[in-house]
Amino acid sequence: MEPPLPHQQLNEIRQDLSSGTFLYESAIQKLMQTGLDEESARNLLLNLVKERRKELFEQKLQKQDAEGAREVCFIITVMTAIVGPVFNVASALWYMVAMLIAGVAGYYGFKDKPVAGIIGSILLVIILPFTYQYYFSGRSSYIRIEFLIPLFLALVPAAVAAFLISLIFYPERKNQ
Amino acid sequence: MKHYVNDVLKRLEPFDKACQYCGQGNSEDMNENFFVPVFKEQDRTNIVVYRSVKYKKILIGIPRCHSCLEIHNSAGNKAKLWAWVGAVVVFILCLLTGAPYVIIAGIFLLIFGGFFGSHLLEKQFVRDRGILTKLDGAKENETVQEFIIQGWSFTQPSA
Repeated sequence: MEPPLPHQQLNEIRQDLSSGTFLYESAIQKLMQTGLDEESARNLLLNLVKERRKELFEQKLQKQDAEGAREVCFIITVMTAIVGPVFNVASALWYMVAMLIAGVAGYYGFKDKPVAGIIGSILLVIILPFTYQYYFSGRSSYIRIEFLIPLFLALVPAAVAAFLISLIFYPERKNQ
Repeated sequence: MKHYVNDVLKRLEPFDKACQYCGQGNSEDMNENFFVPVFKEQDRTNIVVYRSVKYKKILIGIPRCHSCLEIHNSAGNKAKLWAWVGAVVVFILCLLTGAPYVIIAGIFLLIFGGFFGSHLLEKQFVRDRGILTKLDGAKENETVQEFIIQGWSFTQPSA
């Protein structure tokens, strides 16, 4: 009959693997003290290492996916926000739809801080027509690169608001 | 050591023969294995009017049997055909309405439907045959996992 699995020791080794204090030989000794033979201890340890590698791999993939989604959602939000001012759309319905699209994009782009993402994106849609009007009113000629200036002027308060909201709603993630 | 470097073809080739996609067959020909590209960003320049990115790329071989190779290829071809035919039909229907906004929406549907539709259908067709998709199989490979943990990515960096 095989000895029962040493759960307490396995959990300790898992913690060592997570904290970076893992030592192979000491882990083997720890498992062998529970009655396991050397081969079983090595196999158990190999499985733990594989389990840990898979965990790190999935964390990394999730992080990469979130960064990719953030970029795409940011582009969608900016594109949606500039349509109204650039094409002189006066319809309130369009701005409602634009806020809805920006809100959804903000949610998916900042899934770890959804309230900040939603409010920041909606604010961009609301503020951009005003900064656009402020910058271009009374102008008859301009160069294309100038479009970035009202966009930047709108991005700053939206980003600051999103940052403050993230501090209020997600204080535990302020270092992320 | 699970892979060795092929300097001529600039790729990591697997020692292992057991198919990573069905878990039953064996890889018989190195060129039938799936080589997943992974990328690592080296340098990025983002100025308002100028963007550039430099990156490293390496191909990692995932053992694949002949049967899984055929399933992957046929699923890819079938998915492209279905998705693009479907997208073109939708586009023609949009054209027939004659409304400019509907036609513009039809152009978007044609492009997104064609590319994303073929991608989604390909995954579904492969899963229906009971094996892993090319990327899902690669994600099970220990060498690939190590590379991703070290900061490499499946996505090619863009400027």
